[in-house]
Amino acid sequence: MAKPIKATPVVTGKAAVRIQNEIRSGTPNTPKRVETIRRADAVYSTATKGAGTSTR
Amino acid sequence: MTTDGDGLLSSLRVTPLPDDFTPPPFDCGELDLTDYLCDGAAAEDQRVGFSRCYLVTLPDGRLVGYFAVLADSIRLRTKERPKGVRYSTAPALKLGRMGVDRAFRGRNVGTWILDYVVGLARSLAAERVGVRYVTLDALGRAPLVAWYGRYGFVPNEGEVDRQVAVLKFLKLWREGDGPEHRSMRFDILLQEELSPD
Repeated sequence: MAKPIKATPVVTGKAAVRIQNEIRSGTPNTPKRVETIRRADAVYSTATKGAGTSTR
Repeated sequence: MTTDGDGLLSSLRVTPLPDDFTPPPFDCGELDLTDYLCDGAAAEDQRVGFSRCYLVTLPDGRLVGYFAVLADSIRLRTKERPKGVRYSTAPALKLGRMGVDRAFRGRNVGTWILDYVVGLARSLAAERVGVRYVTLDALGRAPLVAWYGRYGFVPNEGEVDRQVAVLKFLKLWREGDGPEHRSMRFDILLQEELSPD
């Protein structure tokens, strides 16, 4: 039987502070990051509108 | 850039794993990931409400890959919380499992699934439920960690970051190196989509 899916571990120390700052201020918008998110929106939108896609 | 030279990606369909799923021949090259779909673990996780599994297929029904998603959170433990941050938990959508059949390797299906899951998370965040991150565990191989990194995922764990920093300081770090198991995150919101302070 396949191993179970693990919970995301607790983040501590400086890494936690970094994430808290990221939550508040956002992740910098590099051209690659913007392109990735725009592409993700397009893929999801196209696939969701496709005839074969269902959310049950 | 995701190339789709032969039109494969634009023809992919996503359907929920049916209750009466009978696995066709499928091999994604990782026994645990293949077994998760084909030996009933995905159906069992879905039955008890721990994840939802989706099949990625061609229009003729051929199975190309699958993925399983579930609600998650990034839990933060620190006493140095910056001003303005009120929560110690960030809501996330976890990509718990993902597999692409070996016959479709090298055709950007994995990236397409990542795009779909990020798009799904953004759709949820925009309309239905608070979500800030897509999370995943990059298991088994350092190149996989690097592959997720090229997409834009970053590691969650402070301890891992320190290990990498030491390796870099000692000039022992090579691109693609890293621990065998990494929890990673992708921030799904652009800066302009955040509410102003």
